[in-house]
Amino acid sequence: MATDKNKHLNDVLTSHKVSKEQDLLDKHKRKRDEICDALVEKYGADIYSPFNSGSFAKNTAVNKKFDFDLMAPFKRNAFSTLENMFNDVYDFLLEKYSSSAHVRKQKVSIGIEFFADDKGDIVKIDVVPGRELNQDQYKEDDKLNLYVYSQFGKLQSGSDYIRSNIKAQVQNIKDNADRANLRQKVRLLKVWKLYNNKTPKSFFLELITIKAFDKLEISGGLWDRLKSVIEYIRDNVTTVSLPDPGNSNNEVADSMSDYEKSALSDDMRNMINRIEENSDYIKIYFPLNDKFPVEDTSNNKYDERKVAPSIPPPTRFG
Amino acid sequence: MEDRVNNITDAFSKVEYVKVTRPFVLDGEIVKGAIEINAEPTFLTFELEIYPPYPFQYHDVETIRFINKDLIIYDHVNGDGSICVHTLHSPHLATKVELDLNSLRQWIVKYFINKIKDSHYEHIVVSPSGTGKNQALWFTEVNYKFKRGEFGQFHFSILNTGLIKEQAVQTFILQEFKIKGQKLECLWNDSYKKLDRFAGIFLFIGDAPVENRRFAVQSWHDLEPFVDQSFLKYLYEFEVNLKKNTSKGVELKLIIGYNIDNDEIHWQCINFSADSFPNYVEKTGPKTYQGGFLDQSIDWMHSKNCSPKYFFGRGALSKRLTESKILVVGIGAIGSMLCNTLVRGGCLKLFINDHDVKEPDNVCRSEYQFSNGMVSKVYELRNQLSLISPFVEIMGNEELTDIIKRFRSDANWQATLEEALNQVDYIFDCTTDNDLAYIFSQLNIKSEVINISITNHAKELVCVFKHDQYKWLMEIFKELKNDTVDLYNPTGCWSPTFKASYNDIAVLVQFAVKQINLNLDKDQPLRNFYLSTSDDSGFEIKLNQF
Repeated sequence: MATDKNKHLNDVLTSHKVSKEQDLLDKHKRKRDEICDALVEKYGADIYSPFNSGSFAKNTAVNKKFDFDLMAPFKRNAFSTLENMFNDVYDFLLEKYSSSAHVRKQKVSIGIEFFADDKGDIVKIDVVPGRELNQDQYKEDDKLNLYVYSQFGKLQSGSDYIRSNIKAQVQNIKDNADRANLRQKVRLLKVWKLYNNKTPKSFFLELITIKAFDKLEISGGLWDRLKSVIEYIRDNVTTVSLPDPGNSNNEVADSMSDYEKSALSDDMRNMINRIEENSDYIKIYFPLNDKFPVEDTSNNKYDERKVAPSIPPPTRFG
Repeated sequence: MEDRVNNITDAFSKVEYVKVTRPFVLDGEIVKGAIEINAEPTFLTFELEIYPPYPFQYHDVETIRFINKDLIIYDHVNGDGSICVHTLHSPHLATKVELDLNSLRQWIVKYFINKIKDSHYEHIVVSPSGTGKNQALWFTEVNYKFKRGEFGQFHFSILNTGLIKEQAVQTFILQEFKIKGQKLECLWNDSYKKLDRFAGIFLFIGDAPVENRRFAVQSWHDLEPFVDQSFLKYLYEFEVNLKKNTSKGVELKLIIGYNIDNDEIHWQCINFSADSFPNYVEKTGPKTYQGGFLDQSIDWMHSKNCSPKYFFGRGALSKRLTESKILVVGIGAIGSMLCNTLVRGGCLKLFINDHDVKEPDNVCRSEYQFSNGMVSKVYELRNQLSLISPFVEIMGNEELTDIIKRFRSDANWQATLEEALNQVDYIFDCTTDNDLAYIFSQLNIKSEVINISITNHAKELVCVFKHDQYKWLMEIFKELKNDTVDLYNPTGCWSPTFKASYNDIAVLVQFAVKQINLNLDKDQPLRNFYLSTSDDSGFEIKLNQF
């Protein structure tokens, strides 16, 4: 029997709700608050209030894999250079958490991955240090400079920085949230990315989804609306411009190479072709989270896996 | 036949830049005459021979010959002075004559007037003769820079004896050179290195041993300018020692090396009898001797450089495959065809595994042979593949999958297994074993795992790569309409098997390898795919990528 694509996608969203991982979510919140307090205590008047800046802030998180992004906005005079800021925050977090977590420098953040607790849960928080452009200007414009850490050493190591307005980035998706449930599409694309081992940045997927909503009349059921976005990516990803809402000088489309964009276009094409040929394939591209199966309230058992988790393996020949 | 002569005469008369200087006449079955070609400012005359099949070719050779022995020093002229022209096909005599004359005139302009040199190297013309006519020496390059005048012993082996036009032909392979206590081995794999070896003499002369620029000298005496006295002394001593130690009638081989393009060395081989060495020694003073060669004809053999770049020169798979170590697990129909394709495509390092024994009914749709009888698939395929490529190194065993399953739950063993599998770059799983696919999905290995299997009647072929392989396999096969009822059930205690011919399977396996090779060669993402076939309106294969 053919799969009801709309129902399946709704189930995927339900199955991947972060609230299903409430316990883990609470652990993240507690750790985030602890780090937040520690930063404020350590840096006092040199730091503004840290805030959530990732998928949780944007309400686009899925429960299969998540972490918290914590933006730490520093005053201009707190550090003489962005590199000093980055290293100082790293040193502080390393000293505080090295006995309970892996602390590592990442591209623009310091990653803290806490050791698994007695339930095997792992909390991951990325702290993103940023510095206002001029003393006290942050209160006016929310703009920050982020240090770009180059682990493998560029010619001028650490000379790169990103100027952005993280609050504007978060606000951008909030502003668009009501447009035909845009965030649902972002979450579904994240599910696709996670389960299919794909590389596009979530931020890229968010922006191109918003662009698709700008350019197209998105309507119909959940599959039709998702399909419109997928088709938009397929047809436009190689040429589309995606300015960073936090700084229009940052071209987020440049974060992917032409080759990666072309591969993404092919991925979208193949996905639509396969699902249109056989609706059952939607379950491969957008699987349910095995950990949170969805109760079937309908009479037809469109997905036998929830009543028989191990279906007989098919016969193959060769 | 008179008509034919008239038709030929008419055809030549119609070409404005040609003058018939001696009328065409029938000589036996051959029409002969002479013409002059006007390629202003040059006029050249040619003897003409037109053979009965004309205007058709015979064994890819034109059946018209334009001969001028004075042109022998130019490119594309055969030893008898005939110009090597290849023209377009035409079944009409007059058109073919026009095409051939046009081609001849182009040769005159290009090679005679403008003296253009071809960009590719043209080997010297060697005409095997005497005892060498039915012998060939195949060699590969060795890692050594020979010096002009260097000589010594080399070893060779008999590869095989075959028939050409009812005549026995022997092929030899060069095994190694012995230079200053050092052994410089050819690149053959161990199967070939194990063959019995015989000694010969090598001499590196630097320049090709030719006369008229491109033709190998035909007399030993003409070889004299290419060698120095130290070699002639060595040859004399070799003869003396040989006569002390061996019986008469032994055939000896002298290989002569010279430089060709791009720092490459080519070897030509001469056959001669131990009973009649081609050299002499004469006394030139109380204690001085002078060596030389007799004026007797050289028995050149056929020789061929078989180095991998030539062996696979006509077409090979992507270097991403050929330069990799590859494990093929499961060598039934798909696996054996895959191995064959990989080896013919230039892959050099293969490890094969299967627990199964070849049965006679495997032969019709896999790369096994009836003649080998009952034998393990690994043993037979290993030999088959080595017969195809002298460069492939093949290892194999019958236990790998059993070991993987037996010790899977042992944590220490898993690490050992992962380490072992990481030694290869690609693992092709052609077992159709779902357990194994599951286990491979659990392993943390850097090697790419490529699973290939088909549905009954070879309606579809499914190829799934490493990421979430088990899940994808299960899902894809679940969606395909795999007929598991109409199976082949031979009598006896034997699991039913799918129905499909060699042709049904091979066409899909080749398509799949083509797709994988393309992805690797162009550095494209490896996407799972299945091939679906349809014979509703002619046979069609459709690539469905995920």
